[in-house]
Amino acid sequence: MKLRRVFTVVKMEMTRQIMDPLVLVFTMLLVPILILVFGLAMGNNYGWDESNTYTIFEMMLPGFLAYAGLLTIYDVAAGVAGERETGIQKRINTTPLTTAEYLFSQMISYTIKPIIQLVLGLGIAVAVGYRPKIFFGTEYSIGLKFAGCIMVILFMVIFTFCSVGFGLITATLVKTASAAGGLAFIFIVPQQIFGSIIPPYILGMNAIGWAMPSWYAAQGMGLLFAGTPFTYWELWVRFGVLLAFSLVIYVIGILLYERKKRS
Amino acid sequence: MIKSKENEDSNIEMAKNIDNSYDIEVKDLKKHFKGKRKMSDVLAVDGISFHVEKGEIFGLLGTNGAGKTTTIRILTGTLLPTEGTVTVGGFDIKSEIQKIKEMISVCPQEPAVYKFLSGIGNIKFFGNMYLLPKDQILKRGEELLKLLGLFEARKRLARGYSGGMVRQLSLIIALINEPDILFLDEPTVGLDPRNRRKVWDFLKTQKVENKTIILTTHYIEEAETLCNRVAIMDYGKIIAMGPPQKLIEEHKVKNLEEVFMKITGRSILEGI
Repeated sequence: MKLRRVFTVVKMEMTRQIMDPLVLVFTMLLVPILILVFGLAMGNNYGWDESNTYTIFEMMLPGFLAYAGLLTIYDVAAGVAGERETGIQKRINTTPLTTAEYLFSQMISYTIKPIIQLVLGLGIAVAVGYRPKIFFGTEYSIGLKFAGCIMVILFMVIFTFCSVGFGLITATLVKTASAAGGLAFIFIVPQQIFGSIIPPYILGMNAIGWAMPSWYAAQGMGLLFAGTPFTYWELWVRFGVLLAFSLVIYVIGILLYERKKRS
Repeated sequence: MIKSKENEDSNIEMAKNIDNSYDIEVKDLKKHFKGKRKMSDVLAVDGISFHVEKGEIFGLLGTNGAGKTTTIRILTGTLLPTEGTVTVGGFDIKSEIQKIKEMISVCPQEPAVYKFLSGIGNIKFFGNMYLLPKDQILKRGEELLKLLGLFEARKRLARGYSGGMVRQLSLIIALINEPDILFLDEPTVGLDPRNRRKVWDFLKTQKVENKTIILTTHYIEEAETLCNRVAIMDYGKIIAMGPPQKLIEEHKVKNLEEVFMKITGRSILEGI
């Protein structure tokens, strides 16, 4: 693997995103804006059950953050299908750039955005009054807070890899970027509704959520925000399941991409 | 005694098979595209065989859908053949594609450049794919930009280029790594006569530098001017092959278009 090729593709992908302001705003600022709006509207709303410990916003926040990773499916699907549509993918395939280098560069470039959104989203949540215990809890040591922070990022990174896999699968099923963008929502919407944004206390949703990778990402981050130490076994079970999901989806994505490459 | 003669013949045959003087060798190549229904199956390339010698400019001529681009795609590793063997630079297209990619370059039919990068940005991107030294990319890139008249526009985004400029940029990208074997799929389509002439002059210099070039074209004049040999394709088959002048003389006609017309009863420009 030649890192020079990998970072050349990463640089190109970042330039593509910067040069298309509409896509940049849609994919980069959507989640922070949602967090701002819901934070202001529901920051003090405990729902119909007054015994709830958390506000609706607090319960929805991990799901909003996971949504940033979900949008990667759209980005990857539209990007890869678009390159195929214009013939540039075919051209790249005639250069010495290997599949491994290409996919690694996709992973890096599409992980940067969700991480930026995670930081922006959390920053806005804190600005509107939310205080995740893992960062603000006085009972935690600096080391534990740091480990919690790393764990939140890891959940996001692994979930984004899974979304890159879904994006590659989508791109291999269609011929145009617009069709890929549309089809991407087949993978996005169920994960969005059942796995991330709907608060888990709504009856019956958790069971459907177990089939959604986004559920494990949102729930994992939610546990951490609620002050669960990173050593807690349930956290690692969720991380393990998310990792397994991501590996399977990513491998399927790679196999389909490789097959499409020479057909 | 007879057996020994057979062995000798077999050795000669084997020696021919591993003859490395050919940069490209294609044997009984077939490409079958399966449609969703049997009626829509297409035999795009139907058992063609040819070789290209080192330093030769070899032209593939034919109407739209004759199988030229499919052949180029197989030779450049973006499409797997259904049957047959192909070696490029002595390497097998199925098992040694990575080695082939290090030594070739392709100017595809579609003007495939990144529209959101500048001209020089595209050149740097593709130069980096071949791991060329950065100063070499800049030096070679600027030479080519000047040669093809794009130097002034090098910092402009490719999305602001005219169709002809994008084509020229696409050609420059294909030349940045100074490939041993260059595939040009209709490289001068969309260029005005002056720029087309510039490209021809440039390709002639490549011939002098002993580069192997495989060129597909609709332009008869292009094939006659540049190519050492041409293969005329029709419905996936090679219907005539040889030096342009020889084909013209053999068929007692004025140009390659008339050769095509004499064999098929149709014009090569049909459907363009």
